[in-house]
Amino acid sequence: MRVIALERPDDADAFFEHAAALLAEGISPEHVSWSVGDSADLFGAAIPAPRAKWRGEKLFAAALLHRAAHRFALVYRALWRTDGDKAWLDNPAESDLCSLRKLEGEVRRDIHKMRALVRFREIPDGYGARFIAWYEPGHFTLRANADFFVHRFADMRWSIVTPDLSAHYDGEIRFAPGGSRRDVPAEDARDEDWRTYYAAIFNPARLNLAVMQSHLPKKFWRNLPEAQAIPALARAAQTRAQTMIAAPPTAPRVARAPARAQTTATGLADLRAQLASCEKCPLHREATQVVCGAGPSNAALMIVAEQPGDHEDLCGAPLVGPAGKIFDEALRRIGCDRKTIYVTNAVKHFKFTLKGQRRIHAKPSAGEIDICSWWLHREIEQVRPKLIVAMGASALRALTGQSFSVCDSRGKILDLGESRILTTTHPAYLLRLQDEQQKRQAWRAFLDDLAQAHAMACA
Amino acid sequence: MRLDLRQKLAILADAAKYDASCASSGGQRRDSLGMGKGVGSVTGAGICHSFTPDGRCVSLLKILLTNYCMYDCAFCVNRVSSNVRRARFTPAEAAQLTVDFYRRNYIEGLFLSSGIIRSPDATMEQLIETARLLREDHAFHGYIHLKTIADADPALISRAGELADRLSVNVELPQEASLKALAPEKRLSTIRKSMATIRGEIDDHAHDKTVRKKRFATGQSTQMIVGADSADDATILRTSAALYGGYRLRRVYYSAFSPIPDASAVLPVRAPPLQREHRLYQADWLLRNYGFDIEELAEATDDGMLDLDLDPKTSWALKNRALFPVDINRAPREMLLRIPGLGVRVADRVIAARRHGALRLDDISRLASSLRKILPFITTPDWSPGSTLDSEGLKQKLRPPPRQLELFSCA
Repeated sequence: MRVIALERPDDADAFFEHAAALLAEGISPEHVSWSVGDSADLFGAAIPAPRAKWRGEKLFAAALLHRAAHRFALVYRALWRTDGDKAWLDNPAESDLCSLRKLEGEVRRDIHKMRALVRFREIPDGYGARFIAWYEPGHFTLRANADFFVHRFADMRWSIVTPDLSAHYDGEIRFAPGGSRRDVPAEDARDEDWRTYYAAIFNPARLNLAVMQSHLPKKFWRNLPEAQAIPALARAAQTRAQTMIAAPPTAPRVARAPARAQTTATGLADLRAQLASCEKCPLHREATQVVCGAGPSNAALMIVAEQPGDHEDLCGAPLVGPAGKIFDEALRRIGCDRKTIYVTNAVKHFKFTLKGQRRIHAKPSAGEIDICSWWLHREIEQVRPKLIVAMGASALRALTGQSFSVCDSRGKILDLGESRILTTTHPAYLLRLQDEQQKRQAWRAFLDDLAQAHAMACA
Repeated sequence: MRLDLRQKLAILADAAKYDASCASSGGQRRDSLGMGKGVGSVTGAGICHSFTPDGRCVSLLKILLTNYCMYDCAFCVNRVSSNVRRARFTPAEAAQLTVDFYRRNYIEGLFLSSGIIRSPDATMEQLIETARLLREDHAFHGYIHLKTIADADPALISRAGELADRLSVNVELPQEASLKALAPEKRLSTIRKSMATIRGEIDDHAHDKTVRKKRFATGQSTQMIVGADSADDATILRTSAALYGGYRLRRVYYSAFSPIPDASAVLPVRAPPLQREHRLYQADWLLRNYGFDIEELAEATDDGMLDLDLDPKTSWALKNRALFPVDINRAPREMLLRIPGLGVRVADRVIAARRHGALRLDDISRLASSLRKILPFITTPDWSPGSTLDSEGLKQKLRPPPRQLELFSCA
């Protein structure tokens, strides 16, 4: 039987070095006994061997900080098994692995609880102030956890004292033997403020001590300044809640604030203001915002697209998404400055269906187009463009009130009394085409249509 | 009478407690040692520093800068017509208090909100000033969550994002009509617009791969009050799904409408619907992490309401019994995740373990924490639920014995 005595209870590295030596010698787990602190009894120990990193080392290292005495044997057995069968670690149903995961979980929770529940007390010392905490961890976690506090409280000098070990930080971390509760002041100047906050943030109408204790078991209470307040808060909670429920409403304190002033804008600005609160159809319920047309009120050329997409809905501007990029590129090719034209949509709100967490564009119905075309016609009245380009079937329907096929109408001029309309495809159509040759043809035609429209409007 | 700091703290924490959000997770990692000065760190995972007797986590110092407010939202303890005591912190006081609490390790950081005073922009500027003092004068690197005032100038929202880890705008109520009736100064459209602005900024900063990029909040969240209006659970969840889809929210918080001191006459108070709130959180979780579609969740309701006695996944499974039992050794991951009582972690372990041989019931019992809920819905070589799955009594059997309600931990 090999008896290995480790110097410290929390030194995973020393354990691993011993284990490496034992494995190299081929010592099986049932012939090793592990202990901590009996430095006299080194009988049979191998000379610790340098080693490579183990697979699963994080799991083992965490489990080794557990207070359970069998942790060393368990980890050594796992290393022994892994040594013989590399795949052993990959089967989560192995019962030793389940046990290790259980230890690991308890250690991680202990580490987490220490980060949460350490309470520093400020004491003046020769150099200003030092922050000292008394804490009782469930496992040997202080050394592994010190780094967290070093990184968090870099400009503080602090100490955490536990029964087994204490950590001191003065720009460098130093570990020393454990201490006792008496080494740390019982109260801090801010504790009363903290209790005040704790009491005030508690909602008595939601009292639920069982859940509270599942997160914060009683064993932690004695070192938490706020825990003193718990019994009184819990006792008074029901009465406080019932008083609130029973209390009749009092007279309002002051008169209501005056309603906000109405806008007095005219023309397009007025139209935009009215449009912002449009509820003529249900689309406003889901969309972020109404997307108004954009451009000068005296533009000679008006472009009507279908409706805002995801991008436009978020930014509040028309034709700025993927299709907008194509449109902009087309304008650049034909030498037309977007700032000189008026760009708008047949339907002013984004319509979509939810697929998982994505908003997928949905085509507006004829009814929605017809309702929203009222706004489009008001825009036309204000801008009075020489030519309107209908991009796609929805735009054509909004402008004419009838359903025409884009294929049949493309490139032709429709004269509708007040306004002349030229029909072309919607740039989103170009995005959808898969075939490269079709795509090139459609792009060419789109450019020709826009160039023609631009020339007619500028003539 | 002049209030001292402690009295103000009591008033302004009391005024903030109806906001359910408390997460301190998901911030950009950084720490005072690495930054070379100051105090504070964000590790990415949140920490609950305490729990109040209502079982809720205390992670951040959650306060209002002031509880004076021009608005008159019927459900709100701070509405202009309420007779509660009023107080205000200066930005300097709030910043100092945050740092003092932080150095004692009471908190992860600050959650700061405010009543609307003077104007939305003026209010937002005060919140920003507090965060600026913390970041610049105190070299504070801890977590900051700023409540964004919906009507504030987008430039202010973007400034707030440069200082905070998280921004949030409260949608308050699930339907526009309720908002009109109960929060007359608020508009769903302005709230959505603010969310869209924040999403745009977060996306832009996330895509900015330059080394010297400005830091920016990494997420936004919102809160909906449950039980103040007549909206049913399906409506609430549909609103959430649309918010997640449209604005990439990290979280929607559900806050059971709770009795408040000096309640408004239009909203008679009663005990808060805590169990309903809990079920909504569970359904929301399925929506975000288990691949459930919003319409599937809606189907799992009874006339729009989630079953209070059964978790939503079990309710869904009972209405889709034809899809069960699931063969543990063959089912794809998506289907494993549909098994009541079986979570993401266990599903992944099952997938890893079954590569080493067929899993039997005792394997499952080692991998999962409890078999009770799982059993009626699975088969293994040594187990089949037989006719249990089709029996009338299954629903009754799955109802838990009366027990304490478990609330959602939120760090």
